Amino acid sequence: MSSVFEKIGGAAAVDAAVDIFYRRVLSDDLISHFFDSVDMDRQIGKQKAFLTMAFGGPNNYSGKDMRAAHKHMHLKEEHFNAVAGHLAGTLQELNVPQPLIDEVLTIAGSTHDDVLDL
Amino acid sequence: MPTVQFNSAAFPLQENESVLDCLLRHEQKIAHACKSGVCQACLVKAVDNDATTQAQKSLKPTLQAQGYALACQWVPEQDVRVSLPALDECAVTVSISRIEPLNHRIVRLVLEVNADGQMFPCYPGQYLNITNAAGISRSYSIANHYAVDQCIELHVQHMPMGAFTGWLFTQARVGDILHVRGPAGDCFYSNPTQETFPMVLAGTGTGLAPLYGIVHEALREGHQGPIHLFHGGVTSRDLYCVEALRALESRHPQFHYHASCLKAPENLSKEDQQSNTVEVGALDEVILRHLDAGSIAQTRVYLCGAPELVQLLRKKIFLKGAKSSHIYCDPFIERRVSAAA
Repeated sequence: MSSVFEKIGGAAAVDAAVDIFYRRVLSDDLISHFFDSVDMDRQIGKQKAFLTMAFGGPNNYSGKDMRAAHKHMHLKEEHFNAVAGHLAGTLQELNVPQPLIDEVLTIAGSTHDDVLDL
Repeated sequence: MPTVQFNSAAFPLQENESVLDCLLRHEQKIAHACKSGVCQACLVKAVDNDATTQAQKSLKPTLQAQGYALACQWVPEQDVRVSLPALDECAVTVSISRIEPLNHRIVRLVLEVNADGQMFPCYPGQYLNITNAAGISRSYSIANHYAVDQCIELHVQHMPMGAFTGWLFTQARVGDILHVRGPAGDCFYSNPTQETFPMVLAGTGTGLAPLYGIVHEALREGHQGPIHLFHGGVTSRDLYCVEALRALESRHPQFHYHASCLKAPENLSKEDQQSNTVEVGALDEVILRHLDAGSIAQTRVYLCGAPELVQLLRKKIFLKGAKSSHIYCDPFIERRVSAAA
């Protein structure tokens, strides 16, 4: 049984998705300010690490890191949902089959309480 | 067991261990995040040895060409030596061969490598660190191809109260000895498979220097895709090399030069303004007017100059559809800070 990460196309899928995903969040007034830092390279790196995690790929995210990294942003449900929406939209743009998108959203959803510091 | 040499020490590798894991296990300070070859935080430079294909495959060609690799993806089978991305330590002795005014506050500084010296390989558009006899160092972009011209051309803007430019603009003489180290920067022309991608280059002030070098290099290499160079100033006084770039444009049909300024020149007639030789408007607006939506996803973008402007242009051009990995940036302030550190 191969992982979601392998089924979706591995690191190449992350590369294909990162620009689309980052363009989407930067164009969304509700959340763009969380992503609009001066250092775009670092932002792209962070989004790649996030997508790799969400695709079920190799990563070192722990719930504790997730919580610490997002705490100062005081995020609300609507922000989390907006990012999840762009994640789904990105995969739809790439013609990823819906069952795989659902698997990715389940993984991303598992970070919900840590990201919102609940 | 092979070792990793880093910061003048050698650290033994374990079986199947990456350079990153080895350095972390030995409590060396090195940036890292995903450990999956994805985020590129753990960029290192291979010194006197080649990194594995696996360690380089996800990097930009310009970084690969300089021997950069990802420490987390590099599992060496023999001794390797790595350093963190930085200006190289070796210095080359050069002397001033010409100082020519380019506009009211910018000069062209031409340097010759002294007879006993050996210039390091560098690409037009990279930058080097230059130190005068008083020990003052600054970074400047390389505006020409050393291997072709046998000299180094830099464009230097007079900075009010600037220690280095104060010296250069008032006291420096032809024949004065300087030292250069480098090169650094990944904003240069690299096209080993001779693709015909469109190029967009933009900058203000001496941001033109690296772009000038990149344009000439692309044309010298016979680049066939369209090349659009945008140079912006507050007024048209801030532009320079205008005649040379117009002449280049008339010799190369694929090259287009767009001069622009924020304020319309007061003494310009309506006819002149409409003749479109100098466009009026903010640089980002001028560029967006000319961007071709149909080819933006293939376009390579080169942005140099004031950091705020570079970041603004980068974001706007990315949002228009350029690939993030196709945007090469050289924001001037950051690199001076990092070069001084």
